[in-house]
Amino acid sequence: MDYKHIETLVDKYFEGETSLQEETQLKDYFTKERIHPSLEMYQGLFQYWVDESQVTLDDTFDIALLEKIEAQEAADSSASAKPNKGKVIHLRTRMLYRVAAAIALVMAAWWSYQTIDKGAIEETQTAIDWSEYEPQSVEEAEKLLAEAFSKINKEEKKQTIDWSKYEPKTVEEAMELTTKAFQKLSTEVTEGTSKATKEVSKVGELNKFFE
Amino acid sequence: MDIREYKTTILPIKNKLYRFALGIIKDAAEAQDVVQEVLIKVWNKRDELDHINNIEAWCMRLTKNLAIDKLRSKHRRTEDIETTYSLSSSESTPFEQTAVKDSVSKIKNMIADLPQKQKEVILLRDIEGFSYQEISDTLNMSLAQVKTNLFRARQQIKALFLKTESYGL
Repeated sequence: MDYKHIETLVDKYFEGETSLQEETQLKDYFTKERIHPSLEMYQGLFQYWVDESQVTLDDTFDIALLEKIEAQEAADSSASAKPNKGKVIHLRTRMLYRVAAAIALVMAAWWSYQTIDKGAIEETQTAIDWSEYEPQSVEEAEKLLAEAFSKINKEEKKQTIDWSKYEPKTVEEAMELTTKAFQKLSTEVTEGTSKATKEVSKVGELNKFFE
Repeated sequence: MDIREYKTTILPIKNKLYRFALGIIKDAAEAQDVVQEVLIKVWNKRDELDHINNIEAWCMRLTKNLAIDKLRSKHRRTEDIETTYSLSSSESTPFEQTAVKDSVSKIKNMIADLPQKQKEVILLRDIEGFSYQEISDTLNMSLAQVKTNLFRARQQIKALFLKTESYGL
């Protein structure tokens, strides 16, 4: 190629006026042809552009990159599969939980009441077969009734309390008994208060559970 | 976008990204890290790529920004070391003097010393063979700015060549 033409192109190049095609011509000249001595000083520059445009990454780059992406994907999918420890429960959900718990409690109470009640009746019904004891005639019934009354009378007589032996004989004895009675009453009242306090604290704990 | 599509459409631009990063950062390992970071970012944003007009230009911009960030932090680290251990010297070592005489190193240094925008424009034009319009799209620069930066970059290189020729430096 005529070196004069190349000189013109070089001037145009440094003025920033060459087209891409002209720049390719310059690169070809400085890398493939015998260079005119007046242009030798620019050989390094165009050679540098050509060399740099051929720099590439090797295959190990692709392997490392794709491995990293795969590892990241695996980590992401396992993270989404794990239960969310820090899950936020919204106020509405909390309210729903409370309502559900209250309904469950009422139903459990109703069920247990029903079960106990029915159970008691069934137990009584199955335990005693009253038909065995039914009198077969009016006479027999009268006789049984008479026996029952006499038995009740006997029991009543047996269980009659003779209060006279507990009555105080003297004023001092009466005072002593009265004092003891008040002390007993006082102890019972104190125990009652502490029991009530315990029950109230239990109710408080139960409230925390539902909150 | 699945991995197969990613391999056929995104991965092939890796070499352009690498050369651009290398031109800015001048360190092969760090340029490689930059490209890897960019390509992972592209993968993570694969669902949003439909909204991007020119993916290649977008990747080039990401590469440029990351490479400049790395270069800045590298300079900070070097400055810290030099301040702490007083390693900087105004005189070049014999090794450096020899290196400067080497043609390729000389050209590399010329390009590295260019102002950032001029450097980006000349790298895209003379290494990648980008048109003015492609450079404008990639660097978010007007066509006039592209031409001005390219003119100034080449003028500066020419001046350095003439200086070298005149003084035999």
